[in-house]
Amino acid sequence: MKRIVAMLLSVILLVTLLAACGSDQKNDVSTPSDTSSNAASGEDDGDSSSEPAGDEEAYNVIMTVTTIGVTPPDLQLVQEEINKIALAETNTTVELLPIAITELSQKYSLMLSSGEKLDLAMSFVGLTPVSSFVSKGQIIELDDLVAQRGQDILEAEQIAMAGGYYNGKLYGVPSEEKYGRPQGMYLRADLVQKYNIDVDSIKTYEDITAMFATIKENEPDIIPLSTVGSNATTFGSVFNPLDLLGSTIASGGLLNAGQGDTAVLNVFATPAYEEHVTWMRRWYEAGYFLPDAITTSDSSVDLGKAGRAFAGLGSVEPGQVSNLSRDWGYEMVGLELVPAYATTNTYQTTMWCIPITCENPEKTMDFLNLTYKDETVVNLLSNGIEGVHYVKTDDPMIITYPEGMDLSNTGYNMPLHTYGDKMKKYAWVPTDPAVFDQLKALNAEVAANGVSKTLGYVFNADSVKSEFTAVTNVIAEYRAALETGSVDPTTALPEFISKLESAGIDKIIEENQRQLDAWLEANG
Amino acid sequence: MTEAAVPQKPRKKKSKFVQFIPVYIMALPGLAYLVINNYMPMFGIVIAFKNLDFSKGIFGSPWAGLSNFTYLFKTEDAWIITRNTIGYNLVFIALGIVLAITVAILLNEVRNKIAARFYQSVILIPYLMSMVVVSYLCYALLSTESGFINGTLLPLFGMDPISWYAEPKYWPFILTIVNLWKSIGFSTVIYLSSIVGISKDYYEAATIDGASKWKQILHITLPLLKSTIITLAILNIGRMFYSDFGLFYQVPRNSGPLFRVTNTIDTYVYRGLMQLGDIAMSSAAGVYQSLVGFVLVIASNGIVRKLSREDALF
Repeated sequence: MKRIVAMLLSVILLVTLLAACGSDQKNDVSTPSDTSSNAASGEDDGDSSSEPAGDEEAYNVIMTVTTIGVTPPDLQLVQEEINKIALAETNTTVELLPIAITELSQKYSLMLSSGEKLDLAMSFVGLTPVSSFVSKGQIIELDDLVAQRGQDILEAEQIAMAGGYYNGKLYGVPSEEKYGRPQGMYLRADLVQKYNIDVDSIKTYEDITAMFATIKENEPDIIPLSTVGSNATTFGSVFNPLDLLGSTIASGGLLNAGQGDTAVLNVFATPAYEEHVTWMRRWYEAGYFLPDAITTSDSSVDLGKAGRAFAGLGSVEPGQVSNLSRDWGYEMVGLELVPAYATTNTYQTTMWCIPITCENPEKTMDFLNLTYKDETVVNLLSNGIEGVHYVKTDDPMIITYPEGMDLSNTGYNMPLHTYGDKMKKYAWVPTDPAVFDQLKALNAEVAANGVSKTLGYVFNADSVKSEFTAVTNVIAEYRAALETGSVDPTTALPEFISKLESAGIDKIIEENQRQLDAWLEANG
Repeated sequence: MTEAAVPQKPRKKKSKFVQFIPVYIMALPGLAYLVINNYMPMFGIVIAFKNLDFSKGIFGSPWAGLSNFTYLFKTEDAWIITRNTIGYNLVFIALGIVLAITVAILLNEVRNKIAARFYQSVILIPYLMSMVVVSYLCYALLSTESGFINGTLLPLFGMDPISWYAEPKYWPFILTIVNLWKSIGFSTVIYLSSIVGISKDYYEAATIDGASKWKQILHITLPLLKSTIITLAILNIGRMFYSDFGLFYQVPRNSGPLFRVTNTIDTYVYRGLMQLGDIAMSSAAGVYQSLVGFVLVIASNGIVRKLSREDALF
């Protein structure tokens, strides 16, 4: 009897094991972001939907849709709408593959090493940079494809195409509608008015200090500057625009956004840096930063929303200030400190790449081009289906939610807008319709006057990988603390510089200079 | 071996195997998992010695010799991270054993069964918590501005607030305390189960002979726990070059000024390779850690074997 029971139990165990294997098959694209089931479903759906009703071979493009962890419930509906257009215009269909941004890198490595078909991959600077894709041999060159089949891409992106180059070849197609962003601060409008601060007259460290002093004196519960985080930086865009040569600050940079001298520098050893961190220390000691700036779990937006902060650092292009007002929950006003400039880094933020497991790069490029050409497709991807997820207002470019719908119950919320020609993307209320023309003017201005001499050059770190890793660690140790004034620069800065040197930053910079000089010669 | 034996033997052998078949079948899923998840991927060790090129696949990629390992040894930081990793692990193992046994012995003494169960659960709960949650708990205590210690505790003693996340000197203690608080529960349960298994007769005999509680612990409990201690110790030694990423990255809130005492091999690799995304280099770190761990396990097992044969793991 006992033996029968024992046998029975072990059989049940085996059967449950097999049953667990079986249930993965049924998942389809719109189930939540469990990595393994996405891989399985991507494979399954890819196979099943690549033979649509008879016809000649419509190629199915598997495209990454980057989410912040939640797959929109109506993703499948949007996909069907897009396919109507895609089939008609380019004889392709698309399959939207949702991947959470935090899993992007691992997901790609897994998919590509197992040979799974993927046609459009997303490159996010800092997370999945093009340089790392290329050094691992994961993506293909796009020069010819874009030249022959990407007319609308070239027209939409123009100088922004420079961000997609690496080792002299094109690997990524950017999705940038802003050719440059002016940098500065955004300030609480109510406090600016209350203390009669003349925003236009504020230009130097001294001016800003005086402004913060007023706030600190009269509003003891408010922190003047909301910059926080263990990776916080205050030098490099807002006060002193840097050209990071397509890489990070670990490989050196050029001051003046690359519009001046092209000698690659160890940024941290420059007098400008020393002056900056000395000011930051004064600000920290005067209480203009949060005392826990580099360790707090609050974000800059959290502080703003709670009404505890006065100003934040960031870009202040048209439209951005109203975004920030929405985030903070207070009316904000922008203060420009650095006019808009363009370096290679500016255009590396989000790029579309074609991985080596793509079966038909030509058709994939056709589809990608469609996303830059067709206004409907751009908006389907970014905003959803018209009439269902949004409705137009009096201005044809401004949209809002239909009756009874909002952010919490909409079936399609895509927080990361990385698709196609974003100039064609409708903006949500309460954006000012004038923003579009202002952006066009800004773009023209940047293209004419704000472009770095090194636009298109990207540093290749393959020969100095160990030094790069070591230097990155040293920077992680000192940079945030110095740039928020959390440590005393008179002792910390010399320590930092000597550690950088012993980690090999000079070797990296030498290599960078050598590559840059060669590139400048070849590209005049 | 078979010929010289009594004719009975073959039949006995067969029935033993048959007798255990259900057990083997039950073990099958676990074994399958172990083989598929741990043994089959072992070929991937070669990744650490190659310049990985996805378009050529793992086996087609060019060899890189030992160049992927150099970044772990070249700089001053390399010495610091190695020192930190080993140092913390030694302290954790030593203190962990002492504390876990102490708590287990104390728990064993508790008369009230319900109370004992309750204490055991409470001690075990931190082990089940995510390190991220723990890091926020620590932040609630140690925050310069709004933390409990700076805000309430220190003023009670009339002391000035300390900028905890900027002073490296406190952190070896803080991290040790947090790690012990979190991990004790698990080892305590294991030791407790061993202690409970010790026959009460020994203690009775000792009491009759007039031995004090302390003497009883020293001469009965500890010697009988020896096997468990050695087993757990050897397993921990195998992980000497690994560190709990959550403990060393999340709890200090990734604060730069503390790197000197909180940077370990795992956090160093993570921070350094995020931009490069170099899989071969991070694999090299993994190979380095597991290789050293393997050597240490074999060595410590060898030593234990020399000293007391029956306690060795294998």
